[in-house]
Amino acid sequence: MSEETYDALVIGGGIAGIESALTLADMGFKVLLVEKEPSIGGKMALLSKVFPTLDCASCISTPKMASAYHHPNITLKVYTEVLEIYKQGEGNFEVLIREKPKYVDPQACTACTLCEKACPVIVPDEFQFGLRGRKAIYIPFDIAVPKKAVLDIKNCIFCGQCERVCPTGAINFLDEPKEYKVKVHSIILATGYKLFDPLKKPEFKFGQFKNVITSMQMERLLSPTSPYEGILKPKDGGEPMKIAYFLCAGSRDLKLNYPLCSQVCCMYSIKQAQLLLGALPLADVYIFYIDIRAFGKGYEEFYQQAKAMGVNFIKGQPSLLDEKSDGTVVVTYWDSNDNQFKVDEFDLVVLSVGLWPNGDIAKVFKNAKLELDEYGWIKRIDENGNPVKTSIEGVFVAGTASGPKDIPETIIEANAAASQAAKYIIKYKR
Amino acid sequence: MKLLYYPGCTVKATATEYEKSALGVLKEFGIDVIELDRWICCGVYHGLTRDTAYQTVAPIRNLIWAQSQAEKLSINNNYLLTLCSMCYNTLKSAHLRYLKDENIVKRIKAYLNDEPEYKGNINVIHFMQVLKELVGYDKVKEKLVNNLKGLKVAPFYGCMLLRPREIAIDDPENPQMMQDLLRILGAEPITYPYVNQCCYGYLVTRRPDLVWKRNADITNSALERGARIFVTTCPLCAYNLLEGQKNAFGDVKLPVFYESELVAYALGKYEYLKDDRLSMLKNILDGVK
Repeated sequence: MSEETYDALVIGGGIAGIESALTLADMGFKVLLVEKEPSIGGKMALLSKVFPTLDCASCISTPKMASAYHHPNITLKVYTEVLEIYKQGEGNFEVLIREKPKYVDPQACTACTLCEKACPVIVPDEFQFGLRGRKAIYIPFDIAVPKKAVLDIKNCIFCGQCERVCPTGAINFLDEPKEYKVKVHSIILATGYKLFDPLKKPEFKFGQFKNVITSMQMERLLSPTSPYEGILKPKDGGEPMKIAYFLCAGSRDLKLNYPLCSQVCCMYSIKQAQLLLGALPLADVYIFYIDIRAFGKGYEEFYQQAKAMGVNFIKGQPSLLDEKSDGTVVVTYWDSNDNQFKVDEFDLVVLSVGLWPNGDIAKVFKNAKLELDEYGWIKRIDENGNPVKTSIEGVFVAGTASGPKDIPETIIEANAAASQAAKYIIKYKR
Repeated sequence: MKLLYYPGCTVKATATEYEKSALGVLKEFGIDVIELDRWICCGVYHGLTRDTAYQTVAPIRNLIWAQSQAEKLSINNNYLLTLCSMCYNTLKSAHLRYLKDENIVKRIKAYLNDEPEYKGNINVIHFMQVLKELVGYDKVKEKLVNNLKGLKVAPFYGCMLLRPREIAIDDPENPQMMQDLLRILGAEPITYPYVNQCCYGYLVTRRPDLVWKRNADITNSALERGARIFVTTCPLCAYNLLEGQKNAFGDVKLPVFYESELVAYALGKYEYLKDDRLSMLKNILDGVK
């Protein structure tokens, strides 16, 4: 068991964690970046475009992902979890981490995908949100960093096909988890969010009707690395001609005891609507909303642009969904502008799912208490004065780990957390 | 086990087959059902008045009579069985209102000064809850004689058992109580969106056109998924579903059965079923085999 020392530990390899790590590394600090998935990039790497500029999301995130991977001051550990953190005085944290076994030697793997082709097991692909299958040994996604195969041992049938075809002999079925301790001077939490699980609201019929999908699935369909290479209905593979968006799915919902606004759903739905009008010129897009919250610079113009492009905005929430035998979803809804119930049919329904807290990280702090707010987001102790500060001195929070926010704000916070961490490290590093 | 029973007007007038089968089924499981000596309308008649105190008087009077009879017969489980969903809803929500709102208690006491005070401990319980919680589905399974294999069923809860949330007998958005029992009987409950929706209830007295359309929609949705019969526990839903089909299609495409009738059939106790209902059910089952 070796014990290494780093200036900072960044937990979470999404855009917030990558940005914090890069900023600290550029300042000359040694950074350990830990990500639990087999690739860094987080949710942003899976998006299609960003609002309101309609820039390609992966074109912004991949250069950052690559430079985090190659930076001399950053040690990147993917497929790795933080198990325990002990604070031993200011500027001194002892961290127990566990590298999950990949069963593939990353040094030897050349990402040739021969193993993927040989593997006979097909399971739902979590990086395509179930729209497509993947093999039990797989490269997470096209723009994964590091682009190395990992073996999902839970679904593996130990047939040995991958081992036989691997030209570099990278596959090692005897790989074991590695646990070790590191010492760090400061910690940045960039653990992000999880998407609202639409099964919690059975009235949306997600999982029951095939043509009800989430906005993240639509994001994948619209992205350059789309699983279907086009926008298709899951039920029959046809092109949707009429698409409905339900905003506030899992946000501002008192029935779920979750009154928070997720801040991004209005804008990403408007973005997707504009992209859909480009991808499917004959399609009609309807957006059902409570309020359109276009608060940022350029956002209102983006909303007006969508209206001018012919996106239909309906103030009202859908109340009852039925499915016809061809998969068409019949929606009964209350139109607040006309004050009456209406019934309409849609080929595809997209649930604009909200951002929910991912507060599991609080459990790893063993001798200090990381405070969470009443909904489970990491609590900002000094909300206005220092929004990246947490209840533990020397531990900072960046991005959506402290609440829903959009990408520019996440990057601002990532840099704020990096500069706060730098200040702290310089003060206490001995 | 002794269980006090509040019938309500509907099961004595139009839904007699429901009462016959439900009480019969409970008897099979050793439940001694004792009908209240005195009972009046549950109070649903005033359900839509704005003044909630007004809605509360009749149900509380019924609960007081249940309380007195329980004391007289020294039954101390405090349960009051209902079959009709509407009665369940009215009695149970009046009970909760009485416990919560002092203002209402003060006002309705003026009307109830000829009765003893309501102690607020009558537990109104629906037939489905008795089967699930007091009898247990395992016990039902042990006694089965007939299997309803292959019968695709559209369960219909209606709104009264599920709303408001505080008195719901199951998850209001995704109820499974009826489906679980149907699966035990061997039937195949379909999944369709109207399972927990409203049949439009008493709107049938003012705007029957809306009700016919609504129930035609419900029927079409169930037909599309291959259902052969509706199963409900609400006499009003049963009425609207039947009349809706008659008026919209000219005939009944999906007959409506009560859950208790299917249980009685599966137990092999044909004496609890009316003859015409029994032959109809047998015909349908012959058709699916």
